[in-house]
Amino acid sequence: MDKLNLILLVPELLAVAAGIGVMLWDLWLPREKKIALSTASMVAAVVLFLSTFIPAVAEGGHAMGGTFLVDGMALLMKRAFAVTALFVFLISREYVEDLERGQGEFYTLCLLALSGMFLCASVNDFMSLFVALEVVTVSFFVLVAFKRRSTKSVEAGLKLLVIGSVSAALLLYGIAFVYGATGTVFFDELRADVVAPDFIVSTELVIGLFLIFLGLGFKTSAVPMHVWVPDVYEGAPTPVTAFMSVGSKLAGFVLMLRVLEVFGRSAAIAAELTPFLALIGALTLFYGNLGAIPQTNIKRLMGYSSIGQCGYILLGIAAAWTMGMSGALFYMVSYVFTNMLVFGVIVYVARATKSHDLDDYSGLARSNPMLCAAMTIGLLSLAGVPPLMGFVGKLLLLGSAFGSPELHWLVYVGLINVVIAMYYYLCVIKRMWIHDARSPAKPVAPMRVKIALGISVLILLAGGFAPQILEGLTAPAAAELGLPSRPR
Amino acid sequence: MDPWTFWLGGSLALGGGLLTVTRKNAVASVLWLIVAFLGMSTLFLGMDAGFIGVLQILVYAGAIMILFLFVIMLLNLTPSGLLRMDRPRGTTLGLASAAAFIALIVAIVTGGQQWTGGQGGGSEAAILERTGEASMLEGSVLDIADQLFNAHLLPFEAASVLLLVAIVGAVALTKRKL
Amino acid sequence: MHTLLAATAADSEGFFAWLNALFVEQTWPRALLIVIVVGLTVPGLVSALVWAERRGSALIQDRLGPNRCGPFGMFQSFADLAKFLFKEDVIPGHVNKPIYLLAPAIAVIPPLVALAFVPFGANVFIADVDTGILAAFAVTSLHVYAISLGGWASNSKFPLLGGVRASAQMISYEIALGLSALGVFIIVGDLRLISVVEMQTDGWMIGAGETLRSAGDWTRLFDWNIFKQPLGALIFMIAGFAETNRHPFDMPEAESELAAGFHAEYSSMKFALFFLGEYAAMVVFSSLFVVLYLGGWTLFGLENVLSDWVTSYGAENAGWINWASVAEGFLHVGIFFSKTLVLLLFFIWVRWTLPRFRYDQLMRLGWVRLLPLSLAWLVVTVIGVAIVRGL
Repeated sequence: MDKLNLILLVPELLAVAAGIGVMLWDLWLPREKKIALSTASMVAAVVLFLSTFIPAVAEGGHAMGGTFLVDGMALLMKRAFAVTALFVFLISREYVEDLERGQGEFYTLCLLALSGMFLCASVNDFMSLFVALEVVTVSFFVLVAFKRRSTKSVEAGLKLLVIGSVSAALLLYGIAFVYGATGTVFFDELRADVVAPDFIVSTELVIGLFLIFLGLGFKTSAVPMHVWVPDVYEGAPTPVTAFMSVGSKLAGFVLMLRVLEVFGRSAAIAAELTPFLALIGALTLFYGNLGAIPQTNIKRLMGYSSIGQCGYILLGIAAAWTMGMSGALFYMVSYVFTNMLVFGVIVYVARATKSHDLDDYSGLARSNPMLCAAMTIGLLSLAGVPPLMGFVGKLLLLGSAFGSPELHWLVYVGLINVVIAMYYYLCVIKRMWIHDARSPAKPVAPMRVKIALGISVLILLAGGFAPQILEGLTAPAAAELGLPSRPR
Repeated sequence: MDPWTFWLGGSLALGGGLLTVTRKNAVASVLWLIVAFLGMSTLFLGMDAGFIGVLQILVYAGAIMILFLFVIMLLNLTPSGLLRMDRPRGTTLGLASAAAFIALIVAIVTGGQQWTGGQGGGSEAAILERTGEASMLEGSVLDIADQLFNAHLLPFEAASVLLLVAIVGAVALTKRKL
Repeated sequence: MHTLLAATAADSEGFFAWLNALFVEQTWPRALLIVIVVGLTVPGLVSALVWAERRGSALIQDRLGPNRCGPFGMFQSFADLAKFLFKEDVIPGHVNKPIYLLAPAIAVIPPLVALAFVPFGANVFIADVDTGILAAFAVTSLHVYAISLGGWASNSKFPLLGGVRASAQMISYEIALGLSALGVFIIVGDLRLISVVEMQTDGWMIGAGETLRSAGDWTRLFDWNIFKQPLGALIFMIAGFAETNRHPFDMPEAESELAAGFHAEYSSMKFALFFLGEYAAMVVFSSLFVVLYLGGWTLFGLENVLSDWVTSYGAENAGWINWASVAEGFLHVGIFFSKTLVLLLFFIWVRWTLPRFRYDQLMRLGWVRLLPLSLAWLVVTVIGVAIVRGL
């Protein structure tokens, strides 16, 4: 609790500086040159990605008197967040160019949200956890409602605001209980407390943790707090939906992993948390995957799919041992590329057809085979089809749950849901390849997006054929977390 | 805390809160909410947390509620306008969630499993020392400043980013011309 | 120090320690006395102020003003009071009655309560709380409800406009008010108002300690915070005018646009209460300004002359009363009120000299000028303090 160690905060500080810089530059740019802000934001995202490789940062450690922690998971997730932001900036360029107002603010809010995500990856006490989470949440309140003239967008923003406030209240309530039970908000002290041999798991601690996971479940779209997802995904501007479906969600997950890492060291607490998380995970899986089937709007479909994907990660979190953590991290990284691939296509298809109906995708194979192929690979990876990265992630997560006998039922639930998910993803794929086009619109993607999509496809394939490369990153990060290396 | 202070502050806070949600007139709700804040402030003062107690009045009663009042006056919300939102389903849900939270508190209060750790980092002595330390701070201005600028520096600074986001967002959403 | 006039809650444990001292530790007669004295002085002071305002405005506008009731019309205010008390109390049929009745009461209570936090002399104060100025600001910030609610409850157009204006104006200027006062507390390092006054005798500005200078040395003038915080004092003054709804910021009332603004529907004593509230708020604000910037009860060391004189005769403990403290108390309060009175006359002078702002000008001044200026001044103060204290 002594050193400021600001060097560790360089990525966060740079992100904030980039946000403020874009905001200020926006003031001096004439209307027709605003597009430079897009380029600047892309450069900023790349710089932020690289900044996590600064030796002093990559080395890790504590900062800000122990309230800031850089470990393997934090670094990995920060890189994932930076890549997400880069993707968002790549696919949002045309969208923002069409905005009649607020171009600079869009990028400012995205970059500040990114700084919040960075902070989420590194928080080491409950106070910072809450504030970091709120930075992300509040940014998205605004970004979601950014199309002020669109009723749907504003409605989505309002829904997010209301449910976000409720979940923030739950989270704070939980934090208050945990503080009451332990007398501290600092994770370092809690880590030492929970492994003390005579630590008694009090009711308020367990209830507090339940509330905390519910509050975080809002960001990750876990079941009791999922109700906003389809409407908000549909109403929000598509690049924002993309950012939210990946960045905001993973920010919630990284916090879940962090809280679990702190409290899951104690077998007694883990024994209380596992059934709770497993139940939530199972409900989330069924809700997301069954809800996706009747959807006719691609963004709503992706909303339900995003709920379903959340369920798989919860499987690994419920298992609460190193493999589950590693699987969760692997899945989260693969989710970045998978979901961004799909949203990259959605943005440009919607640009051509001006709608988000599933019908728009009929005949995409003929109108733009490249986009169609990219979308197919993305959807297959989401479904978890073998040679792709998503398959490996699901395998790790299901495997981690299979490790503990009392979670076997959850594995079966997961497997059933893989089949359900396969159905609706394949429906979209069938529509793209077999059906005839309904509209004459021909989606085109600019070169930079094509390259990004191509790289994503390559990464998805590489992650499927050689998962050990990514696992080589996630496994040590997970091992560092201090959870048991065997199932309980 | 003096029991009188507790009962006074507690009944003001709870009674004010209850009346806030049951009034049909939005202005009356705001006024009762102010009463609730005054009750909260009384509780804080009673716990010798003078600074927080005063801020409760200064920030919430003195500034934020005035903005509420301002908006209500501008919109000229009439009771009949609010009645439309008053659907029985909402009442049931609200009562259900209120009951759930009361049950939660009862469960915790009557849970019986109190913290009784032993030695080491998580010992009772260590915990008590920690919480005792916190309660001994007495909420004086210097102690709070010390906490904010030492132990909780990161959330304190991050809150500035949060405020920046909120300001930029509010302007981006509401201003007609940027 | 147990004196006749002192309510000691010096162990700075906040308001409740004071209440405790008041009712449990048997100091309540002293405190009660001060409460009564303050409670009676303020309305008296207000009636004097109203007279001063009317005579002053007449002087400025080359008129006569009230001159029938007593010498120089001095008793005019009492005649008015009698009229207010005996006039019919009209409650219009269209008002929201509970809130309509509540508003005038809210107008008076916060300013009177706020005086509880003001130290009139080294030992003459009601409550010495360690949140000092914040507590005073917190209480005075509730004053705006009187105007907003009165305007709203009157349920007619002009009062509503007045009420809406009041709430927007108060919020806008409260920020500048607080930020400008912050500079003083950065220099003092304490929020207690007594510390603020005591700090204004330290001789820092002219690089001399207190001991080096005799009582009455005029260079002690530069110990006052107004010389350390000139811009802060200016902003505080402007924001204070706006917070008390005084000219040139009396937008809620603005008789040329809004008839009588928020109190158009009020008559007789309820109107008088609004009137009393406005002047009491002026008194509070002037007292705070005196404490923060004008050295409070100090006057170049002259504030201790009387008690020293009593002590020199060895008469400080004749009987059960500490006469030295009594002498000190009276002199301090006298000095304090003289300074306050000067400021109050300044209020009146400004009112009859400057034209009223337009509403958009008022908002622009608050947000675009005063707020950034007070922030900038805060930064300057912080840097200055850091340099003086050697970082």
